[in-house]
Amino acid sequence: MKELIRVENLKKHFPLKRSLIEAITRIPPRLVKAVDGVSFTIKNGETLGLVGESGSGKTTTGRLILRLIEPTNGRILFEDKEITSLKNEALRKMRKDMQIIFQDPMAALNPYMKIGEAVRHPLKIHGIGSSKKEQLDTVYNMLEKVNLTPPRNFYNRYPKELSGGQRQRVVIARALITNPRFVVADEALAMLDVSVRSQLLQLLLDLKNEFNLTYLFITHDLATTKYICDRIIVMYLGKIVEIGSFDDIYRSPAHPYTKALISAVPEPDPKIQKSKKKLIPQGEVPNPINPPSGCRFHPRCPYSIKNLCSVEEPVMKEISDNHFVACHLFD
Amino acid sequence: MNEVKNKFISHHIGSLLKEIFGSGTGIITFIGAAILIFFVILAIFAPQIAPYDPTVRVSRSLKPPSDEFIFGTDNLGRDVLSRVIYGARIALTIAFIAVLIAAAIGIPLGLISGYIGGILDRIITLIMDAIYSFPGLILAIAIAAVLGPGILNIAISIAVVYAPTYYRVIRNQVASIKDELYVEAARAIGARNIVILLRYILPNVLPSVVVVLSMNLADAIMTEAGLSFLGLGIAPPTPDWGFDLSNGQRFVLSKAWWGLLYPGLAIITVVLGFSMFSEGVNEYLNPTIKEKR
Repeated sequence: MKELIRVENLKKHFPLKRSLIEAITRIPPRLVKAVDGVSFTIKNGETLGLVGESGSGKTTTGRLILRLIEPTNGRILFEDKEITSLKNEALRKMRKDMQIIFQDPMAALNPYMKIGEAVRHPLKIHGIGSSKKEQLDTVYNMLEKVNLTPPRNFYNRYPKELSGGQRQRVVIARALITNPRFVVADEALAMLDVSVRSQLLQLLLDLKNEFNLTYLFITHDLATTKYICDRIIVMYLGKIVEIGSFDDIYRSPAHPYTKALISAVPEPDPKIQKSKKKLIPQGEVPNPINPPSGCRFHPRCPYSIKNLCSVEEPVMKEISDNHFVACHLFD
Repeated sequence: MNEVKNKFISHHIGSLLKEIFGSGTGIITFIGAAILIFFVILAIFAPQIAPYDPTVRVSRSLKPPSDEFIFGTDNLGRDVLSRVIYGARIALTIAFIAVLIAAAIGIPLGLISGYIGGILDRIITLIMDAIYSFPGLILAIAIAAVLGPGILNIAISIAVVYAPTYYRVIRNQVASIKDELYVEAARAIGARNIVILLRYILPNVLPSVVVVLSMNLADAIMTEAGLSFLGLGIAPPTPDWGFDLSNGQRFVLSKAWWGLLYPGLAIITVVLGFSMFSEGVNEYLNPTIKEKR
């Protein structure tokens, strides 16, 4: 498979507001290292899962790839084309090919815009479709595809008249109307009811096959990745700790943090659930302003090696075919 | 929003009324609207309603109210009733023009300043705050004195006083709305900044503009009356409440109270009407106020 997206050493540091004294004495502002040097590729047509706890930098990574926020450092390539340095107009044109589905469908739609207009707006912006009628037909078609039927009826409604699941369908329709190549689904299902969630998961899968999409599926819920992801990246405090195929990650997780995440996924069978070894990391996610030295997971890691994990930062190693891990246990 | 409202005298009148009437805000709004409609009709149909020409001597001077001249006549023998009716025209015209100019200055500046931020925002905010910190009437007097009389000039001097209130409301709302997810979504679909401002941000700040607008009208009328009371308004003999008020008070000592009372009543009623109406609009567009009670 050809690679669609390549990310190299991507970094995003958010400066904290300095106090008056710090500003006067010109102490450089402290940084929140939300994303601190991640590199990976996304192949054309695959679904890459990006998992991690809140605060691990997965949402920031998604936004960086779409250039919704400016990276501090690093490169992003879309079809071998560098997009990190694209300026306003070129960037705007490129957005046709890269879209995002947001987590909160309540907040992602303009309350004063009819949902039909919201879905049609990308067509207007990019000048797709020669006449108004043609654009309307495209919109009706798309609304039908996301199961908002009858589409003519839905076209003139406002977001407040729709349920959460319906709004997320609108958001999906808006993201896919320009026929993008790559879609970031940023916790797209997290805020929905469980029943609606499985429907929309199926919808995302169907649309992927129909439009030949490539997804970056960001989630904190490993269980959802089971149904959709080909490969999975596990992030912890702005760093990638493990990359592997879905089976690698799920059946033979290597990094202690991945193991902990997997053990937290509930099993439907109570016998398996009971016999399952629980691996719960100690304490909270540390503060990203002042991340731990060495391996960032070492203060919470039950296997941490003295005088190594706290000192030296582990590098990415391939432990089996296309299965990478950053952990000293595999040195 | 609230700090801005405190600038308006009409807002204080409105809150006071609400305390008196308790939960009867619906009634307040209704009465306010009725008063406004009444005065708008007076202004539009003044030539048909007024019994006499307001600028012509129709009787001997300072005649007390009678069947012939219901509100009496002034020192130049002109009918006070006709002058009050025609005065509504000037008052409302200037108020509307002033409010439109103020909004036309304040809203675009607020949008740009709030959206772009940075140095530009600081500069505009500084200028607007400087204007805002002046007592309204004093600033209006200064500008009106420079510009000279005339409907448009008076409207401009009033507009300058109130433009910062629009600016502040819009700027602060835009600054918070621009971080909303739907604005980021608009950027993600590739919308230009101007499109984001006009289609995604502006509709979301308009409700508060309406509230400011309705309070602004009442205060604009008071400021206009104040200016012409001080002789900085419309040139006589054009009928004007503020001018008639100052003219009338000269003859109170000769027991001609009608020349002072009726223009004064007209000003009070219109301002009260606008205050009541704006308080109602405010409540309608701002559901959080209702819950507090």
